[in-house]
Amino acid sequence: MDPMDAIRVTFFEECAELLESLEAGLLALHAGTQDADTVDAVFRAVHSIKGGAGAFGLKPLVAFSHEFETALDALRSGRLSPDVAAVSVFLRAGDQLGDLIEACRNGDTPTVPDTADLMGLLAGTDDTAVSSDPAVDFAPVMLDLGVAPLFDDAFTDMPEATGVPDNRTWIVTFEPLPDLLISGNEPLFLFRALEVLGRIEVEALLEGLPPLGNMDPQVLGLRWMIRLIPSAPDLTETEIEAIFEFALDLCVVDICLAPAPTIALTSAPVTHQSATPPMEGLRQQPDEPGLDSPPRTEPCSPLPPDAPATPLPKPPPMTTIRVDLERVDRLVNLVGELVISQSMLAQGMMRAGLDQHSEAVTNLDDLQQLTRDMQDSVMSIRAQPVKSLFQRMTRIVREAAQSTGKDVRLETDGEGTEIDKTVVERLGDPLTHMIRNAIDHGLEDPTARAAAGKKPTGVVRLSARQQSDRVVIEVSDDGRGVDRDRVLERAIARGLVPAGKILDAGEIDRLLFLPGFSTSETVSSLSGRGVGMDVVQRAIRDLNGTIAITSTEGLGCAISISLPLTLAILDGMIVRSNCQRMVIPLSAIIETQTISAARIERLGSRQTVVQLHDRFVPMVDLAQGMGFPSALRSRSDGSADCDAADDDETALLFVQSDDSGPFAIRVDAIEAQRQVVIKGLGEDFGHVPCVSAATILGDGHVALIVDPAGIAATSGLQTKRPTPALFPESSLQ
Amino acid sequence: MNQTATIAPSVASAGPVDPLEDRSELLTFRCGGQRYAVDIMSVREIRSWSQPTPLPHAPPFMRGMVNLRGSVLPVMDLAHRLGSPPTDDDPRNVIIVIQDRARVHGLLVEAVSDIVHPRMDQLQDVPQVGDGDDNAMADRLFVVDDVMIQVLLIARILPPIGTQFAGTMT
Repeated sequence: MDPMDAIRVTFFEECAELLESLEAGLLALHAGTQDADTVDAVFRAVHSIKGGAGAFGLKPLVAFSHEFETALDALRSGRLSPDVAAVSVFLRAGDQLGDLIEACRNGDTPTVPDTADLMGLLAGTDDTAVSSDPAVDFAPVMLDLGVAPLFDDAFTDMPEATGVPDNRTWIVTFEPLPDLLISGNEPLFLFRALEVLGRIEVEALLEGLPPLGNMDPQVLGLRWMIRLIPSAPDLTETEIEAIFEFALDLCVVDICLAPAPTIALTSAPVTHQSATPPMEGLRQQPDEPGLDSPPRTEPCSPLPPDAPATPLPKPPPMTTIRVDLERVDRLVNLVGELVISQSMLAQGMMRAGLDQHSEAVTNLDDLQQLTRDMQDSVMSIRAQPVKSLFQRMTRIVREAAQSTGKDVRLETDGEGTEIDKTVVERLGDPLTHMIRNAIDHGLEDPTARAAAGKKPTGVVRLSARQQSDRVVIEVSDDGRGVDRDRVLERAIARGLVPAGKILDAGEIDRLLFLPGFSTSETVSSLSGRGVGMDVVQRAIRDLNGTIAITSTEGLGCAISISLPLTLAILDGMIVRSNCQRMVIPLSAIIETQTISAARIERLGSRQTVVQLHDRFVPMVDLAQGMGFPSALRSRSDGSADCDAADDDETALLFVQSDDSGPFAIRVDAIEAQRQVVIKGLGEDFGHVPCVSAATILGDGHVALIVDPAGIAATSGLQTKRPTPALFPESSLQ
Repeated sequence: MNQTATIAPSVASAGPVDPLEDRSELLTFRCGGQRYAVDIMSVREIRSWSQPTPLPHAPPFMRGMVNLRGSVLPVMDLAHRLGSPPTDDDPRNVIIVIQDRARVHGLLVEAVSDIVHPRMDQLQDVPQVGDGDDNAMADRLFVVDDVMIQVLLIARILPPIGTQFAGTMT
């Protein structure tokens, strides 16, 4: 890969993180947090995106983030109070920034006019937010300058500088990153190079300095503000930027024109993006009442109380490293193999008849402990908190609320719950769908809510929690709940359920998961596209998860998803059928029965049904369903490790599959319940029906992981779906 | 089993021994009563027999899969694939692990015989007999000690990627 491309990839990865912290910050503001740290974090995120975008020449991104930053700076300097209206504008801008980054990442350029649109929107709303906010007081700069002499000497030159008749004075803020000196750069040379362009006034900004004890002699703690009065009137920003060319990624340079004295609002934010507190100090009258004080800093106190305002001492993120996911996966695989080898070794030693208390056996126990620990830690590398996922959902809620005209609040809980990275990624679409559904179908209109005696703001709750070795994610709303009469009516109208059939409440709720089911009377832009909960269900099943719905009429509806912590390991029941050991995912199994206790009836010549509670469900022999010829049985009967089918052991596993109702799988024996390491079947195998993957058992043998839905399909158990058979061989039945 | 031990070192040493350009290097083996050969560069390793786990709804020549140091290796009964009766389960059988670009596959054969270096002019084209499908599997022929050996093209033996195994069940 071209090195530049690699850096570009890193940039976009960082963008994703920055967008997350941006959104987190904005949400905190939305929730009422007003401290300077939060505002600064938000500002920094946008600023860093802008910086990176500049380096890659992503003009639309630079332009938009610049506008965004400008508006945020107004917030930072206290001219704009973070009220709900302003923060929603920022939230929307954040969404737009995300879209823009996505477009840039995909290499799209036609988004340029689009951004102009967005900028106009932002600028417009920003202005109105400013002017409509009584707390904001933007004193003309001239007044500020009048009191400027009250400040430290460092600023006494400011009045004459702004006395320059036009906008020609440039203000360059130069903030070295920690590596600047190490890479052999020297700020003095940069300043000298600047001096060639005109008269410069350099001023060191001290407020980011760490305490003496923490001082690293290799790191410049200082920042500088340089006022450049160019000798040539037509000096451009690019020319100034060129000076810093070799140090660009080692420092943050901000170049802007000094404010014209009389233009108060429109140009003031531009200078503000330089983010230097002394400028803010200048702009704000020290004795002005009614100003939001937190972002204001004493210009020259060496150790201001809100030191984090400067991006220089970067806090925690230093403790993480970026690792290619492929490498982690390789490690996960290797450890999986180690676990298998270890258990093979253990079985081998057992067979060798070693003494339980011999040294070898105890050492092996230690080894086992170590491999377990190792497996856990490796798995935890892939684990990620669901926070990022939940944050993305806030946007979905905003958009859905906007387009439905409903007032919606999202409550989240358990954001720190960790789950496999792939699961987090693949949950995005199903969760989006569920949330849109909850808002579109679940929540009532404000009027209907008022009639039901509920608060006008509907609540959608998104929660995650770990329950033993699974993670449960729940989306609930306080809306009207599932309208069961209408669901049943719709299902009958669509031919999903025979007319006149009596279904209990839970069964009706589950109808929502049938393919092609949509309850909305009108097809809305949000949901109701004909694909719906069945897609969600399939996505969750693909992750070895289960999905359940509970609904209370008039009080709301909750859909909970239970997922394994990792995709690399599966909880399975190891069964034997026809001398083959196979694994059935535990998530699919509803119930098990011994064959002697089960009530089995024959239907016709080949079909068998078995009683499950108060109904009869079809029964399939596992080996037959998998298409293993019965010849295999007689052939392998001679081999020592295969016992003839023993009726005492024969058991029935009741499983639930996607498309058909529950059915029973007959196996010769249930051997164990165990966690198995999933080994995907590569494309070498082609499409293998009835099998989702394979695993390697403790004795080194390969066992298939059964896909119950596949068995149902190949055995023709499509009781509820009148659609044409997808599998022609289903004539098997 | 002991074949594994004897063949492996010679595979390793064969590389630098004969780099002559007009010679090819082939691994010969016995399978279904016939002698075959494959290009040694496509052979990754030779493994002793282990009982494959059958795959559902697979074509009859797919014997199943075995554990290849923690990953799952599909194994094909080569004799059956080439139209002979299926190979019996026998601990003396061996599995030749072959690699065709990214695909790794096991070929179940009766025994591995030798490594030979026929000159290019010793390799004959396959005479066209009818339009039998099996002909297409053999690329060239050559004779060693009065025994005809068919040189197989790996890419032709392997089932096409993405083959739907479904529906082949009887």
